[in-house]
Amino acid sequence: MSEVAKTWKVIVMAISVPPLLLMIFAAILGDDISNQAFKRFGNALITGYTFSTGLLFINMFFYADSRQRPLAPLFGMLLATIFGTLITLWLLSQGDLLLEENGSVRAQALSNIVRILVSSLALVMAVVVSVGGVFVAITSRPNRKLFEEE
Amino acid sequence: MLVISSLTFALTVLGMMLDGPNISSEIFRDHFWLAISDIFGLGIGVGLSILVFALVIWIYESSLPPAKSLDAPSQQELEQAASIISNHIGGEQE
Repeated sequence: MSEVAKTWKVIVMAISVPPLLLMIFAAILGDDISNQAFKRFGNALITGYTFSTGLLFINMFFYADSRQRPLAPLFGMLLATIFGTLITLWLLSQGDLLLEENGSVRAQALSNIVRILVSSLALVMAVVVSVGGVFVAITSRPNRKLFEEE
Repeated sequence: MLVISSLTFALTVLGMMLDGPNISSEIFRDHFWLAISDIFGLGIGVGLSILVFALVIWIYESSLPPAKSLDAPSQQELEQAASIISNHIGGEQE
């Protein structure tokens, strides 16, 4: 196995093993995954998709700038964003399917947006701490001697 | 990094097992599953949107006409290039 493949294996394991261990631990303690968790998963998925396609639609303007400003990819991304928004609203209006403890579709949509912002902020903070930790680990190493001085 | 990760891991495990003054272990585990669902859903949603973004660009790029390739250089152009190169790499003998 090459060095690059080994490094990727370690990175993937470091990201996936701790949450998997915690999930196994919680499952051992006798918890079933509740209906509420499925609802939360669905809400996060559709909101994450819509939010992210919106950001990527804005990003598409930069792509268009490098390609003589074509309209087709902008229109395609706009369609993907509108599709995500409509699917989100339609699924939220299906009564108990995705509604959590909120009384209306608008309240649930707002709750989803606030939650996605909080989750994203938490993930960004985790990434900042991880990158900072790696930076400290790398810079605190003693310098390697490349050549023996004569 | 290992210390921070281990500490967080240990705190989460303790929260799942022991009742605290403000939250019981059962409610903590409920919130843990909700947070896991939230992060997994967010990850899959963002991944899907990136796939759609790549798909839109790929469809547009594949619909573009192929770039016109240049004709092979003529004998005269080759000779001119060879003379320019030899002028630059020859140098003066000392």
